[in-house]
Amino acid sequence: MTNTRSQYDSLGTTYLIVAGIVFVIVVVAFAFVLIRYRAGRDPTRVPGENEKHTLAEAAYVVVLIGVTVFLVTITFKTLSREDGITRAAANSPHSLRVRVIAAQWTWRFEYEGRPVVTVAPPQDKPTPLYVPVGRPILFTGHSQDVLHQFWVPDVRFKRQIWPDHDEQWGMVFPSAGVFEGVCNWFCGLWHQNMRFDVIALPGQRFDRWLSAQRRKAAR
Amino acid sequence: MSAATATLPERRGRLLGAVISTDHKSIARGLLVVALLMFLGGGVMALLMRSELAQPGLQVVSTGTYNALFTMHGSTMIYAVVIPLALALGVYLVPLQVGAAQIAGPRVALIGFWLFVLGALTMEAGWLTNGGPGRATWIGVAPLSEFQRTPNSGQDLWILGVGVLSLGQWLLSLCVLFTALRKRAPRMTLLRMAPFTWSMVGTTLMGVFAFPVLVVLMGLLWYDRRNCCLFDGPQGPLNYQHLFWFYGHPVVYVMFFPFVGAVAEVFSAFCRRRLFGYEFFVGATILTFAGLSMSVWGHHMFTTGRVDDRYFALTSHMIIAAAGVEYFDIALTAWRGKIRFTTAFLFAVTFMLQFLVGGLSGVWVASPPLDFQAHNSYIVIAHFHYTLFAGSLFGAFAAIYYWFPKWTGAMLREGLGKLQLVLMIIGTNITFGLMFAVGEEGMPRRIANYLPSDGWGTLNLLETIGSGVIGLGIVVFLINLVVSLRRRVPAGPDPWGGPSLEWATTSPPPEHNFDALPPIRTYAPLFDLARDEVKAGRRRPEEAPA
Repeated sequence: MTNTRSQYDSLGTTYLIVAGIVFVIVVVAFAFVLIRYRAGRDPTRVPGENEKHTLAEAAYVVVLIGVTVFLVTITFKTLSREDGITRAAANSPHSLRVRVIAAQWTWRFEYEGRPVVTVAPPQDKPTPLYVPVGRPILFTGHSQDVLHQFWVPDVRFKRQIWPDHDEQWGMVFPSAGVFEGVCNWFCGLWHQNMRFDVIALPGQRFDRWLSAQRRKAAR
Repeated sequence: MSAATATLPERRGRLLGAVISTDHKSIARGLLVVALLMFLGGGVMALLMRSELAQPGLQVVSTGTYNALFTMHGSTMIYAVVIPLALALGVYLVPLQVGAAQIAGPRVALIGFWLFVLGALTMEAGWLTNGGPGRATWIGVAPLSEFQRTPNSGQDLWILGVGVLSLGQWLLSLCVLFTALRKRAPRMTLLRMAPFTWSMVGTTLMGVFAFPVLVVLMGLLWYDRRNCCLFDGPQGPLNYQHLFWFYGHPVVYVMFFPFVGAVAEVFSAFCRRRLFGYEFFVGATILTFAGLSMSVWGHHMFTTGRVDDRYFALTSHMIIAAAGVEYFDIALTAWRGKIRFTTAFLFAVTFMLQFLVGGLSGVWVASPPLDFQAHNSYIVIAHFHYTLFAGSLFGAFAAIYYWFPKWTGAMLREGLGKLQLVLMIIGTNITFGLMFAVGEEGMPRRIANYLPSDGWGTLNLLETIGSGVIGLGIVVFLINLVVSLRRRVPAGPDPWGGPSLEWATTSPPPEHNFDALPPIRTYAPLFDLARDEVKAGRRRPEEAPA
């Protein structure tokens, strides 16, 4: 199963290379023209008179359109693969469903179908979000007040959450570890404290955690 | 001075004249002065924010004050600095460049100016209230801006102020647009208008359609704070975002076009060549660009999951072709030219290169999978400061160094100008370049505080130092203004050898603008005159523009 991190890395690399090439071409072109045609170089020279070249300009526009088509194509392909993550998370019987509840200024995560909830511990510590590695997860985001945004920078993905609406998105966490999560929509006074920690566990360890939580909740 | 005010005592007359004059040059001077004062205010807010962010923890301001600072920094810089600066250039120069004696609808323009001033002061008046000014971001995002969430009266003043000032900006846009369309001198056909005037046609076309949307949106928000439920429900917050960005994205280009136009004029003057590829510049760039600007707003909402990602990614990427043509035409204007490296020209070159970083990162955030990381992070802050500060404001300084002699009759000092440029280049690239890195590492925008364990401390400290260097550059500019106005070096009508009609009259121009107009045969009528002189043997060809 692919994930947003690897999609971002490969698409971003291509965009960065294209941007780098364009930047170098423009800088070199300007540097050449400015040095070559500076007034001090040859005071007796008469400035050139031609002020248009329709064919060159049209050819240049065709090149620009080519670059645009290339970038749009790879963007669309990446989008389709990322849509596949959400589709897999919504349809696969193995996927995990987590309800994300955002409120000023804390996060709560409910593991759907199971009476397990993680809430923020006292003293503004981040809420833990336990997830299995490599398995598609369907998140359903809901806000109790204003706009919030669920962002995990390390997996290069975020989604806006707002009141009176359930927003669904799929995610896959590529590796085990702890990833910082933040609220990414300004949501009032303590916006900056609204954090969560994604704790990505290998499949079996996650299952053990979940059943332990379920037992605890049942007691 | 008009006949009505000439009878008053001299000092009272001058003041009153500045307040009620319908002369477009007086209105534009007012806009420039207000924008400069607002720029200093918005800059102080930025420096306060940067000093707070220099280290993890809260040292300088409280969280609440920080939230007010970023809201008002953004609001001040967008609504009260860059938009009015863009309009001021148009109000001053479009009538001159089309050979008109006055602006279209001079009384409407005067009302527009005062509505803008009134609105901007109302917005800033929030600082004087107990609860402080608006603090629901520069886009006033609902439902955060609703009464229950942000009850302070400063937020009401913000909404009222933004609505009123946008109404003023709408009126000013109309006047500039109709000047270009209806007030042109005989023989000044549409395709003989100066590149800057064309850029203002694009700007005001967008403004005429965009500004009313914000006026209405502020009206709705004002109503909703007292009543209820316009922005509630599953669709309500999205409706707010759609309406805001339907205004907001064209306005992003309102804050860009005039400076491209100004830079095109500056290149033309100092390379001694008329603009290359004029028809492409006007058609492909200004008009296509303006048209596209109305259909890209959804790229601000990729992370909602509720817009068509593919449609808005496509329209946003199409901007590449329009912007690419601008770069081609401006670069080829310098090609085979005879280039003089004045301060204005160096600012224009810096505009081209630094804006390029903003443009290329703009292509990056136009791609939804990349925006899923960049949105509302410091990547976006870096991107739009490269467009608005490293781009538009450098373009504005190119325009100021180029046209200041026309506005005042006095030259700005070149040496101080180059010192300012160097300081600003260093400061700008340290401050905003590093924001790309800190954003990629996961720093969200609009936070007063972060943890030592986040590892953003070093980059933020460097950014803060960079912002101080920018501040020094601005101080040098202020010194330059004072020195140049105190010890005046007279400019004469045409100190640079410019291409378009504003250089065919005195500096500053008389109230009726022109005593006589030169013949208008192309979009660079003054270069045509120089050619005639060369042909008649009165001028050596290597000293004349082509």
